Amino acid sequence: MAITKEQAIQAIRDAVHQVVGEEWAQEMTIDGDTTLSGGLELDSIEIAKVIEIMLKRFPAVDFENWFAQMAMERIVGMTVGDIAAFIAASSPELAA
Amino acid sequence: MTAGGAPELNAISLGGANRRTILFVHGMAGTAGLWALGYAFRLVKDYHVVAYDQRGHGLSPAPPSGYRLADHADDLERVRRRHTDGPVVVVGYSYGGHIASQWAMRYPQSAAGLVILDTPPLPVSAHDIDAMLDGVSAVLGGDFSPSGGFLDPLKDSLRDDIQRRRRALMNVKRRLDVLKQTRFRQEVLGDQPFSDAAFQGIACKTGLIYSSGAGHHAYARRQQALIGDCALTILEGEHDFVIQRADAVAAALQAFLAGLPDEAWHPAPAPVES
Repeated sequence: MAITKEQAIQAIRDAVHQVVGEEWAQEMTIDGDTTLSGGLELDSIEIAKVIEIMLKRFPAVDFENWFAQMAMERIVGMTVGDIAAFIAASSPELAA
Repeated sequence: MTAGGAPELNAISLGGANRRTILFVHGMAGTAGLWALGYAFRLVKDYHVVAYDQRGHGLSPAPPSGYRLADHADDLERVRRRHTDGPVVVVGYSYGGHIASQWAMRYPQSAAGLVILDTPPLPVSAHDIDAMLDGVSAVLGGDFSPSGGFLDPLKDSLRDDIQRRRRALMNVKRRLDVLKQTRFRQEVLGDQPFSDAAFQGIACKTGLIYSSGAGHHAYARRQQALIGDCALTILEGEHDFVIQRADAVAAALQAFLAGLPDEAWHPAPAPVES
């Protein structure tokens, strides 16, 4: 099933809420330009947890090979839009 | 909690569980995050990688007690059993190296290999623990004067950025405040250095990867002399070389893994009962 970038951003929002809890999540604005580390101030274990949730949510997306190309600074510095775009691009029929 | 009353520890598992498993043990006040993000993705093509948060750390619960090395080693073995039936290579950084060593001593049948990263000698000093437990409060208030092994890299990362990183720092402080309500401090300080015989009891192939600058070489050489199949690699850098020189540390780790014989990954046959 095709996944739009906006649907992927919503999935990341849900994952962040799950990891940080509603108290913090209510203060967060999460859009495509938000970075995981700087914007959301997630620490490394929270980012790892969000990524783990995304791996389970989108098992057909080859996150592991994608992240294998990156240093840790690059991973934590990614924007929500970067990840969403990768998910959408990995989707077999990219919706508009 | 598990059925046996042990806390259910947070673990990140990456790569197919049908592959050989590497298990990362973080240092004091650390989390699985560094290992999941900085190392696991380099290895998942060939290995199943698990990084977990010790009790009282990261996203794991903080029970009132159970912070001795033997308790941590039992936790580590429970994490292993949760993720694989077979032997694993355990990689322990700093204080996590003591946990990894204790585990290899207690559970030799589970150990395919052991990698110790820049682990200083025991006992842990009260100053270092107090700097860790209390120092973050001071730094949050803008006082950067407290010092200690854990605090120094944290201060460096926050000094110019304390407002923007406020939530991250509050997170660390919240976790440490929870830890302060437990017997963590007393139990860590109560752990005694390993004896020569204990090190001699480590049966698996062991790799020691130490930084040139942290000054723990005498301890590394003692381990090298006592552990049967053991090699020491010294890399340029300080104690935070696992972050600053992750490429070099990962390469040394991969060299160790490449040198492990196939039979190390197979469970030892059960003893025949007479």
